[in-house]
Amino acid sequence: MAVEYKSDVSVKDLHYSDFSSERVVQGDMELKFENDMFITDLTIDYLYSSRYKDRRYLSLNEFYFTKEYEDYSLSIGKTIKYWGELEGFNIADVYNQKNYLLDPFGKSQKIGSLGLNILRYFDDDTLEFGVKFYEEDLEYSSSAPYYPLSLDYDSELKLSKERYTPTIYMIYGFNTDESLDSESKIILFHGYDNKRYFTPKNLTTLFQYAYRVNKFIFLSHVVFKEMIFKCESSYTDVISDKSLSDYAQVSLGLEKSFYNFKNIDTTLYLEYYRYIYMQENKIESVDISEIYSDDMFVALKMNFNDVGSSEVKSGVLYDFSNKEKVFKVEAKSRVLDSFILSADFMRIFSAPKTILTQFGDSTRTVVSLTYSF
Amino acid sequence: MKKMVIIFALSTALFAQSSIDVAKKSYEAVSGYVSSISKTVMVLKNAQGVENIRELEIKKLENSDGDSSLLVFLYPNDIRGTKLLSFEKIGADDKQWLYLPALKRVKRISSRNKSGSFMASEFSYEDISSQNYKNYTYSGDAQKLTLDSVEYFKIHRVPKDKNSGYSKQIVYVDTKDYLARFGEYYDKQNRLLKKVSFLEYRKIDGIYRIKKMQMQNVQNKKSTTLTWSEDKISAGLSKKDFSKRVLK
Repeated sequence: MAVEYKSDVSVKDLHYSDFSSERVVQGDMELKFENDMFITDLTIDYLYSSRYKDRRYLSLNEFYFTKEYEDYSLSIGKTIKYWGELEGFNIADVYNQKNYLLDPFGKSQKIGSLGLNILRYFDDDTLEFGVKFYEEDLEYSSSAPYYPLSLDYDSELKLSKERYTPTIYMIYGFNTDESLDSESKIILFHGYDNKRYFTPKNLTTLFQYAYRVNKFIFLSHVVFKEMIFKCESSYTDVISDKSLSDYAQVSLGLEKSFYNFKNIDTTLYLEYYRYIYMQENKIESVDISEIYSDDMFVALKMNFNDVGSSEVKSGVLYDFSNKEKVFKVEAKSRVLDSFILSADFMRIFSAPKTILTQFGDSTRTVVSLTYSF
Repeated sequence: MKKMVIIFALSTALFAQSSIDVAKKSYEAVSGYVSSISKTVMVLKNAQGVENIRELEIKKLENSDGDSSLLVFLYPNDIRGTKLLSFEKIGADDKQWLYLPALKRVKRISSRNKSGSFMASEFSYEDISSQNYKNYTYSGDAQKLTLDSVEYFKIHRVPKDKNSGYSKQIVYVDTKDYLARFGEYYDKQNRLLKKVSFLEYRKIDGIYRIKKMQMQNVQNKKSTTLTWSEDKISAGLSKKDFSKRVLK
């Protein structure tokens, strides 16, 4: 039997121009057991905030079993999946809910979901069927900047059907090689939308409401010389919820790398996102995904190819309709082989009556030291 | 006397080897392993002598039109579990995918990064990919010379790939066993950029395998040493072990 272990623990200082500062300790531990029968993966996440009591948790975020066959793979348990192509935001990444307790601005922070999936391999193509068994409650911290609303929040989720009513999906992945070097996926999704809206429980309290959808997702990338062209798109048909409009999302991206200029490798990312409501006079701006309504994302990543594998990333997200901007720069470097020292600075220029309005024109600075073992 | 000179010249011409012949024999001396699994330690040294360690597992599958490789990064700890899958294609662009375990993401990367540094070392992606002789053009005969009592073939080669980071490479091949022993790599401005030393070979089941090599960057004074701590050939790997399935 083979056992693998990996753990990261970070100490972070967060400073906000308009909110209280805090220090957090966060981390994760991953264990993997492999024998002749199956593979078991387990991830425990934890967070402790010096200031906000509701930003303290210890959670089993992933625990699943995988059985590999010649042409099949079967997996069951609590998992995190990644569906996407672009760098700034992933329209297609709908399997897991986002962990807003950890970082509302962190794209990759997700909550494990309980499900089962079967994957069939055909040379380069794949066919996957999966089911999510359960819809999770979403926790929010009760304090800004981690809580976006002016009323209290009850985390017990309300749903249009039962919590255990399954969400099912099918994914077909295919490649082309001859004339065009591309990889694509078509996802058919029926069940609870990853987007939820807040609705009043009473005069002082809100709760989240999960509704059912049919969703069609297409994602693809094409490699042409030193450039990669990317696309993510989806159409969501809202089932039996008159408050919400059907909606479509499209995002297009380009990635181009420049190598070895003064020993620095630079990658440029250009992305555009569009969110289209199919009906008027329905509920809007309830989910972070709706920020990406008519937005351009431009980012630069520089690898310095030094012993510390130092890296600087900077990007700006600009909303053409609302004239909102979010600017972020991150830098990190490895120190003494087991530590990563990093810092990031974010500046928000918000507009009225949007999800970002509650942040105002504000800044956030984070300095972090991570130990990996 | 004239006849002697002509006979000598003719016999020399008959026994002279072309650069491409030497390159082919050198490549064949380290080929035939079918598939391999090895563990490698990479020591990076900067201009001030500060060292950093990288460890990786390398799986390779031989193929006449381009090898396949799967690199799994083992150390430092923050990148442990990151995987790089590469399909080399002679005469065409390679295909590469990177698996990022923290994000559970398989990312296609542009493989025209031949000159890009591999893991911040002095080895570029071009240096660590298959050194198939068909990836280069050669001209003329291999020149023989003796250095420190060892006889070498000196061959000039020019990478066929326009995106290569090198304008030319000079490789010194041992005349006894056709193993490459050291080389000089020139940048696009035709300046000496790196010196490579193939310091140690070992023979496994009749096939020569590199055990230790070093790349010195003469321009920035940095160096990287690669040592194969474990190496197994005819490892029983097949195309399925190099599909995207193995990345997750």
